[in-house]
Amino acid sequence: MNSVWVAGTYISKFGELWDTSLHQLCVDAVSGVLENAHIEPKDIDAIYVSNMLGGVLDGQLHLGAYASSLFPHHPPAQRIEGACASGGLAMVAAEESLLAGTHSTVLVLGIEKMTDVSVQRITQALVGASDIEREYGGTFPGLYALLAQAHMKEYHTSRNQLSSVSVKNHLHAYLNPLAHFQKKITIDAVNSSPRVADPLRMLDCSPVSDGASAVILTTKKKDGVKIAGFGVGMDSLCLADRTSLTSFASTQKAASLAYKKADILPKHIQIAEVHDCFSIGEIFSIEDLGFFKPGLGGIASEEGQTTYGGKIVINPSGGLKAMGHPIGATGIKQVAYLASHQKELGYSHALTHNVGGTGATAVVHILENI
Amino acid sequence: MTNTSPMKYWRENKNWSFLLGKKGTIIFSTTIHTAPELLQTYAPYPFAIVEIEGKKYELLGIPGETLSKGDCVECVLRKTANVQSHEVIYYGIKIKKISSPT
Amino acid sequence: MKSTIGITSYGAYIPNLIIRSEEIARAQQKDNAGLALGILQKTVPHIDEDTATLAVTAALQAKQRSVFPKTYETQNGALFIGSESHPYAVKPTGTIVHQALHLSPSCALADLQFACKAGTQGLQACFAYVQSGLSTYGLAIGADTAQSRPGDVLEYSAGAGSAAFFVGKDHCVAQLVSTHSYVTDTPDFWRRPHQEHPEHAGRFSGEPAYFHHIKSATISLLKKEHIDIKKIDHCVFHTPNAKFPKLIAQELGCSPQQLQHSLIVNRIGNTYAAASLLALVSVLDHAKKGEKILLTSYGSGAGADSFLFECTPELEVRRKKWNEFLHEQIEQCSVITYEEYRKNTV
Repeated sequence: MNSVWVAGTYISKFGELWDTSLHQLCVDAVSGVLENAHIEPKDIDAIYVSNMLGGVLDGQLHLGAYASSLFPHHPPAQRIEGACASGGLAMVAAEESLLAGTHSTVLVLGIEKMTDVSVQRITQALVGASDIEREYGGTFPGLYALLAQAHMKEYHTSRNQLSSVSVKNHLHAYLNPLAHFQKKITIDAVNSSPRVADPLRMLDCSPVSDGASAVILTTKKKDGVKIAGFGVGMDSLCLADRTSLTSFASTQKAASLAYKKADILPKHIQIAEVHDCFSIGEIFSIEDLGFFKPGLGGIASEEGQTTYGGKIVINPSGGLKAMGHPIGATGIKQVAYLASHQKELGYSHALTHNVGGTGATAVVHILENI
Repeated sequence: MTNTSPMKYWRENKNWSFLLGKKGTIIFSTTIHTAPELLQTYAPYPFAIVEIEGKKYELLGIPGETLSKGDCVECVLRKTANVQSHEVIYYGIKIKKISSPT
Repeated sequence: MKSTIGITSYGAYIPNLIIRSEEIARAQQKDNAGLALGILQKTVPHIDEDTATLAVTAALQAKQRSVFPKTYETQNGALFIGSESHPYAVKPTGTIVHQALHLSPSCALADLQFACKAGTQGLQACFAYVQSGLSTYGLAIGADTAQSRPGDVLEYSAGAGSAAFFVGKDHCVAQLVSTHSYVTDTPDFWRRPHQEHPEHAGRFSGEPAYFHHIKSATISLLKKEHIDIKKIDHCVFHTPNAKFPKLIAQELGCSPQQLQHSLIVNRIGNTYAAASLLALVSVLDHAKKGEKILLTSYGSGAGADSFLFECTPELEVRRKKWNEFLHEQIEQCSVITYEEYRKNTV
């Protein structure tokens, strides 16, 4: 039975990369990950490209073919899209091909260029992650704002608890030279930042970032960081069709599958990169992944349980909020960051959690250090 | 919808009469301050999950209005996109506050 | 002329925003011309409203108040909508209303323009369609989101509103007794294509225009029916301001009591193609069975439509079940600033 190992990683600087185009992000990621893995281009059997907005903002589709063109032997390639879960889904497609024996070494590449257009244009584009007909008028922050309201109503999650998530993630990113923001913030700063969609403020929201990340996965290794388990969970695209507005069934399903494959429980996870597209997103994540009981995610954040010295370290990279969120790159960056920082972070088991839309898609990966 | 078109308008106008005039209750509502291009002129505007005759819908509210949990609303026809002067005008269902719970 | 047709239901809608005349005076940095016009405030549409949405709202109320609203979805109809602020130069406003109300596709339909008398012309056309048997019902709408140039005196009066009337043979709340129209080519109010705001001819709008046409249409109607104006319970004359209708009423021999319910212009402004029809709505909201109503509209210097109605017992019975009356809508308006007014009417 094959196992999937991480053979190489690459993460670009995340941020407003004014002099880097979508194509350049791709070129840099390919050369960067090949160098890190000490692998020849010809050894790549297939390429999985994760990207959400290349077609919408740049008019560039067919990114699989673009990436494949960078290799002399033109390996088979495809682009995968699942809104913000594109990266996680691309990982799963790659893993399934490796486990099936179709390929033995593949490249998973996530790229996104978001800063060439206005805030209003991006806001319009991100609406595509929701149901554009049945949720018309609801911006992406607006939909998460409704979820925040539901969580605050049911569990008395407070304004300060939401803010504590952003504060903690900025603290983590402060030491990450690749982060979009290397700047500490305060609870007051979050609470008084401009309103985006009530109750969410600007500093509750992940930024608009450019960036790329890549991993090379292989069945040809025997030690290092292994993909011990993964799972994909889905739920209705529309919030109106959900049974719960205070949790994501998609995350719970994906996590359950991943834990089962890896034969571990949530308590075995020491460190996790989760999907904090908004501060409330991290609170949902740490509850749905089984790290904290439903309704206690806000308190755990406020009490420092999700940082060093606490129960579990969440988002050591700074998460989406502080490291940045180039959409197609995020799910792959989560794996790349944990794999490349394994010695420093010192875990035996780590987890990544990548969500698409308002929880319509969720992908969970479990990494094990062998 | 990132762009408008006469064909989309034509498909969608058949849905107006289903909700027009119906009343509902707000489950949750937010006020959207940062709006997408097509809705920029209307910001800030409410966006809510509303229950109408036992089913849940996600609908836009009237620009400048604030909606809260429990408010009673009515479905009205309003312009729903800020189109350019040569384009077909977009109409759709929005919710308008009738009363708040006592 | 005797007829067996009449108004079977009606509805009205005004946007719930108003601007006071003193606020306009402040912005224009001039004396308050609203005082001379007798207009205290006028209605302002929301930024996401236009003539079509106003028309839909009034027509929906009229449909909901009808005895058998579902029948309109299958019967042969006629729909005429008058406005001088149709959203399109080419594409009918009427079809938007038609779609929203889910009316039968077997329907004669057109948009009309004749400045402030387009709505009543539509009403008259509906009566003709139903009387002739071409249609089982008619829906006549007058709706406007009237425009005015910043700094112009029309800023005080150009308001927004809509009124809708279903007409038919059964379940009439007001029977049509008679109607008469009068028209000439008198240019007191016009707007050329690509011009944003209308022009008006100042004092020329008085004697040769408003007064001549309203007098001519009204006198012809009264003569046709051999009826003395003093025998009429309620009189409605078009309201470009609050002064003119009182003057013409005096000239025709009406008392102030006869105008009592029709002078809503002081609180909503001149709603152009909806003006006379909204005044009629206000009268119908208060009238008693057997009472007679005279309505004469006027538009663009050049025409007037006159109608004589008689209220039926059904009016008072059905009115008891209705809500959101026009006077209640006026009470619920919120005051806005000149800046908000300009933003909403750009």
